Amino acid sequence: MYFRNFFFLSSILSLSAIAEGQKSIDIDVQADLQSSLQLQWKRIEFNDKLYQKAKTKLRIDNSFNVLPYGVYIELQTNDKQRTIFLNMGNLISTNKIDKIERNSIYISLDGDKPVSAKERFLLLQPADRGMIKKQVVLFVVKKQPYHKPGQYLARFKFVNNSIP
Amino acid sequence: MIVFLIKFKAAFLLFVILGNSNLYALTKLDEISSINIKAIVPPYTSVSVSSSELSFEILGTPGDYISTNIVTLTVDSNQSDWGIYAQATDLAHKDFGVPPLPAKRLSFSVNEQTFKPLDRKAIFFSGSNKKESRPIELKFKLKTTWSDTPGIYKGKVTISFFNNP
Repeated sequence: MYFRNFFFLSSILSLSAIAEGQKSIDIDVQADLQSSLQLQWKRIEFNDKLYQKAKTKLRIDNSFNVLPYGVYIELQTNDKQRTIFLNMGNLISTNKIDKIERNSIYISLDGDKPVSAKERFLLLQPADRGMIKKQVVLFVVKKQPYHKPGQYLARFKFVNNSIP
Repeated sequence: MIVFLIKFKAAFLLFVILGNSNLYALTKLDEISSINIKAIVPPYTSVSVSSSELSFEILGTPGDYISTNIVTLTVDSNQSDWGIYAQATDLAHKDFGVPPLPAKRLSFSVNEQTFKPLDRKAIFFSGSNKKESRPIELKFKLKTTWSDTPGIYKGKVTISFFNNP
């Protein structure tokens, strides 16, 4: 009699254990999204449409010269703490003898009013987060009597800064 | 006389048969008592996964990222017909106020098939007790954009079993 009850009970218990199997399972998901920046640039010549468009918009008097090339920049970031600056150096002649100091250099963004290149130039700010910024940089030189004629190369650096 | 002989043969045959069956009865086990066995087979289902965690390492530019781990799902059931559903929640940023990654950006693939979105409850696998169930391999994909704020996001994917879907 005891044996019969035990057998019956053990059958029920083992089947119940299987029936207790979960019917719904949660999988925890974690995504670690890192700060990201995309920066692409290329030199554009005076006959480039982008250059021409910016040049047409640019309003300067005869005391300024525009270099016959510019820079096309594409910038994008997902990080609102990130800022990108353009840091200009002196213009160096192709023979590497003469130079035009950056005090005389101005930067125009998309043909807007030129600003002095003495200070670093803000290209991407927190408000630009998420959007792609396409910009044309023109180099404008304030003519000085001591500037020697010739071809000059612009030197610049992109500076990445994270706001703490 | 003939009638007598026939009756005698019949009586003799009956005696032999009865004698043999008694002999057989003496050699077999006698039934003293019996045990009634009652087996109840209730409906059962077991759903198990190889991993309860899913992680995405998004180090590069935004785009589609496959999870670092593949989840193997195993279903055991004696139900006649069953189906497996999956649904995801939005992935919430650890910082308050940062928009979450919507669940519709999560998608999954069953056994290397095309990816399906996880934003609404969708049946992705079905079976029955007539055919043997095999482990299912699940891959997950997350789409990110430039608008997504960097940081840690957390959410969950719920996998559910339904009978007679």
